[in-house]
Amino acid sequence: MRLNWLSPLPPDPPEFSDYIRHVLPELARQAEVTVWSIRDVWDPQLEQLARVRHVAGDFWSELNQADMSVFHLGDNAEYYGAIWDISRQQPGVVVLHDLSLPELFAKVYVEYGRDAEGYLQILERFYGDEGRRAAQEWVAGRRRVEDMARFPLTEYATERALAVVTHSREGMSRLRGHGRGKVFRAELPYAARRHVGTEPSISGQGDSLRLIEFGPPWVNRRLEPLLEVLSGVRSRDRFRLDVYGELRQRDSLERYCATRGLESRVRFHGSVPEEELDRALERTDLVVNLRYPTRGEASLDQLRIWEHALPSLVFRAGWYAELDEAAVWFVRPEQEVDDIQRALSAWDENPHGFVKMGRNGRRILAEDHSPALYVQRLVGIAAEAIGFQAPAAVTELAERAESELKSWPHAEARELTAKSVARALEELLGKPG
Amino acid sequence: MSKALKVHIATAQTPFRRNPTDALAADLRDALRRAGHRAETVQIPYGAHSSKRALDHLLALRLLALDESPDDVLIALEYPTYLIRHPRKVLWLARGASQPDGLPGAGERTMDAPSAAVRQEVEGRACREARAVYSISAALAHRWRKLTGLEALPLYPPPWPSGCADSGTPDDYVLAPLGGDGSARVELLLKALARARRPVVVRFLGDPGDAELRRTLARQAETLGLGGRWQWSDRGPEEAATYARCRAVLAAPYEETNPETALLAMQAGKALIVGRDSGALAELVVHRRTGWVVAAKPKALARAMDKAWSREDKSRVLGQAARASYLAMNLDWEKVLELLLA
Amino acid sequence: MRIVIVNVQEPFGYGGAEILAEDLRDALIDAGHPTEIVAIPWTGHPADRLLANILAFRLMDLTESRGVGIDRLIGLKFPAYLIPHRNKVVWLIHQHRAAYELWNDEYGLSRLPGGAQAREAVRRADLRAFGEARRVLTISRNVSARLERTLGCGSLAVYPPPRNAAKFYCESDERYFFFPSRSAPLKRQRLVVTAMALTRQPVRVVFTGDGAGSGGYGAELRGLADELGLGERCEWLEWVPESELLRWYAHCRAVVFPPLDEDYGFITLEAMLASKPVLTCRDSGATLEFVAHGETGLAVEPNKESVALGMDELWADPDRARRWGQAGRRRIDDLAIGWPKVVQELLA
Repeated sequence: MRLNWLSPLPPDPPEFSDYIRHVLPELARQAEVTVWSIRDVWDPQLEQLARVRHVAGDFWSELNQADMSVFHLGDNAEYYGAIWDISRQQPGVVVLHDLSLPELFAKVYVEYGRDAEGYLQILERFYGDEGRRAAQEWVAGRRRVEDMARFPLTEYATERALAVVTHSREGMSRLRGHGRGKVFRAELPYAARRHVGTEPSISGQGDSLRLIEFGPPWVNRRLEPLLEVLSGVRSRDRFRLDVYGELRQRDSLERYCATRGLESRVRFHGSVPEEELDRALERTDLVVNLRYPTRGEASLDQLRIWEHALPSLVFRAGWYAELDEAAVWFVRPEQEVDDIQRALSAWDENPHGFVKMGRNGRRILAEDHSPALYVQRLVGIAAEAIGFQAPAAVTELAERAESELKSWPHAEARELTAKSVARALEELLGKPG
Repeated sequence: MSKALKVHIATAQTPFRRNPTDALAADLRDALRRAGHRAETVQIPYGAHSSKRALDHLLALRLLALDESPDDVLIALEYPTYLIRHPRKVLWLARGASQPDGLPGAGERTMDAPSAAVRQEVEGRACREARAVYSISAALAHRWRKLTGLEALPLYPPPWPSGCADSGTPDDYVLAPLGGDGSARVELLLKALARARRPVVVRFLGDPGDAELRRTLARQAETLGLGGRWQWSDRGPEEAATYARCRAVLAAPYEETNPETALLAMQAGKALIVGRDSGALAELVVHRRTGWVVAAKPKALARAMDKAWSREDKSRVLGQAARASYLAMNLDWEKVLELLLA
Repeated sequence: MRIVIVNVQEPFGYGGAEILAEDLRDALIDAGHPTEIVAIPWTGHPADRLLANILAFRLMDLTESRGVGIDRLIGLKFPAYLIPHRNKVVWLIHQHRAAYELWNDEYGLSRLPGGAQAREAVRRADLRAFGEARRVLTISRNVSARLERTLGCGSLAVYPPPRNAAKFYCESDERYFFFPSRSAPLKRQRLVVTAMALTRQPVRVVFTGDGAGSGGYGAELRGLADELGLGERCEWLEWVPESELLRWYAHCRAVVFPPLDEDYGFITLEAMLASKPVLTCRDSGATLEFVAHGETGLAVEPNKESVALGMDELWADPDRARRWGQAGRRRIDDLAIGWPKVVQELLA
């Protein structure tokens, strides 16, 4: 199986390029893969595992030599925009790293492509007048891009896909019945490092609780309720919280901590090298991973937490809601403060329960999120997708005929001709997808 | 001049029937090539409008894709060529909307009403996609508007320069050019001839291959006792000379949309006798200035023929006015192309 | 029978296929069957246009004309032969090569976004069209072989006669080779030009074709010839009228025609009719169905060294060249390629 693989690559930020690190060794073992880079520079280490080519010039000819192409999409125009553009011209397998992709299109069309009119038309096509109006506001600069979150455009992103892969059950149910491609689910892969997380250093009962929170700036990290709960704890030496990664709301959070006298117990580290974060995770008892609202898709960060065999607080929402409750502590979005409070009390009473939770997470990581299984699944999906090419063509042609026919008067004439179209397509190309 | 374009000139093709529009397409193609563009005529199958596959064929033409680059132009001359979607489509109608291509074939069924309604709707839509719509005569534009509600701008096709000046002393005949599509009302002309008081001779100019027409003519002329009063000339390379030597031109087709006969007569400096209902021909003649526009009845036509025959001086004056009128129209391909390619 | 020959009108090209269609039409009319050519324009790129046209052609109607039935449809090329008809015969000039052996070529489908899907669609449509046709005939064994190889579809090769076959004649050898094909990369004039720089004999070649119409390639060839210092050994003719073309055939020492995987190659037959030997290559496709190596010409490896050797061989021994030419003439006479046979097969 010859595969094209288009996804962000190092040296793109790890939040985007980590994924391929988990996947590429297995991919190179199980398929003849060509990795395609949008930029003309890439980490040379990649080439030890696979052929890497630059998407430039007359690349279509080479792209077409493979049996199937796999395109990775996420809600970021800078790292996924060009990949999306190719995916819509070349039917292939689309893997969604975010279920909602409003920013991708808002920026690809308006900022990068300068095709405001095109953007308006798309919003109108999928969301009617309301969508168009909102798009107009965004184009005019009267809206923030976050305001376009109501218009996920997932259907548009996967319109020409032969197969769509999601990493969550929510993705399956949202995508099924929409768009044309068959929907598959696979568990987000994670190549666990053996030396990590097998023996977490545990604080005993009565020790202070070491909390950690980390993540990239563009996910909605909910620290406010946690800080509120912590500010209510009387003995301030009972916990510490270390926050890693850039935070949009850092300034306001620091001010809050100052007003509540938390500054000695809560430390904002900002962006640090990965090894430093790993070391911090090794000295942690409980990870706070409260993200809301989410863009829906699975999180490598959560899998990293399990790699370290750590318990974590997660919202019961999006992909997180699908996690095994023996491996995480659920916080309800509408009862954040109460549920966080209960978690802290539970830790006080029985820290070992949380240790078990962490170990469960580690086990699930090893069993369900192995890259070998993931790649095997993806290669299988790609193989199936080869057979979807003709049915997809049939569906597209039928739709094209339909859009002409719908302007014809006389329902009977439309129906008869539509039947001729269906027959013609089936005779020549087979059944629709 | 702007850059060289790639132009497709499209006419309809009905197998085993000649299409007179092909001649206009060829002239347009040659004019485009002279102007430095790449031009080709293409024929689009008309389809069978009486078969149950008629609507399939209609959809086929709506789906057919011809354009390859932004420099491509499609000049559609008639149904069904203007159905084709094209980013740079221009209509220069040479034939009316779904105008029958000659007489129906024996045993041919016309399209059923619902299908015809669909076709009309689709036609209108397809034509509105065009950048511009022209027609070869005002009469055709008028018919077009009645059928589709759409406007077309008259744009006359320049006839070939005759290269034949008026020979001075006209010969002894009135020239009656005939189109190949049976709308010429030959019988009307013969009846008019029979009622002429002067010894008018009519020379019919027709398709050399149309034996059927000549037989019909001969039969009808015999019935009317017209003996040596009628003659025949083949259309062809000698045509211009035939125009140049006539006393006047006679044509009374019913609602003609093609202005060619009138333009040729005017170019040759000949007065034109036409019927009032002769469409594109009548629109080009000013009664008693450049010819005679009369009721399409034997008596009225006969009177006009008599005048043309007996009053040579009058005929010549009208003819010269007709030629002046023609020159003032300033028909040339450069202007046509400028409009079509705008 | 009322017959329609259905072909495609390639954008701004007129060549072998159009000539073949016209000659076929005339032959059918001569045989007493009213016949017309319907040549429909289309485009095969980008991919979505190709797909739309597959559907469009399938929906077209050529079952009757003005109320009178069309009794037989003869399809020559893709996608014309997709048009449905209960009495359809395919006389295949070639499949849509961009989807098959020219997939990776400059104009191949692999160059297009969505090319793989389009190729699959062409394949399936072809299978259907060939399957439903009454008979599948081709213009050469090479085309038949491609059909078998790509689609597993059997067919019968029926050779088309070259136009004006009777007019070709043979006269005195005026010491030049003749390469009368249109200038195009697939015809491989370049191979011959580079070979000329390696010959020992003072070989001269007269090239013809579209001249100005060949665009960049023609100019490229001339430039190359200059670079190689071939000077007057190369002569470049623009379009020539038929009488002159016949003359160039008549007086050449041999015809050089080494195209890549030719569908048929009227030139080979014209050379044989003019009693001239032919120099071709082992991968030239259908030319090899006519050229017998060492008997009516030479079939050499497709590299400049071998072509140079071939040219030297033919140049150095004009008597043998003449004998081979005459053998070629006997061979083509024996093959008895004529329209009556074609008509018979197409109407069977």
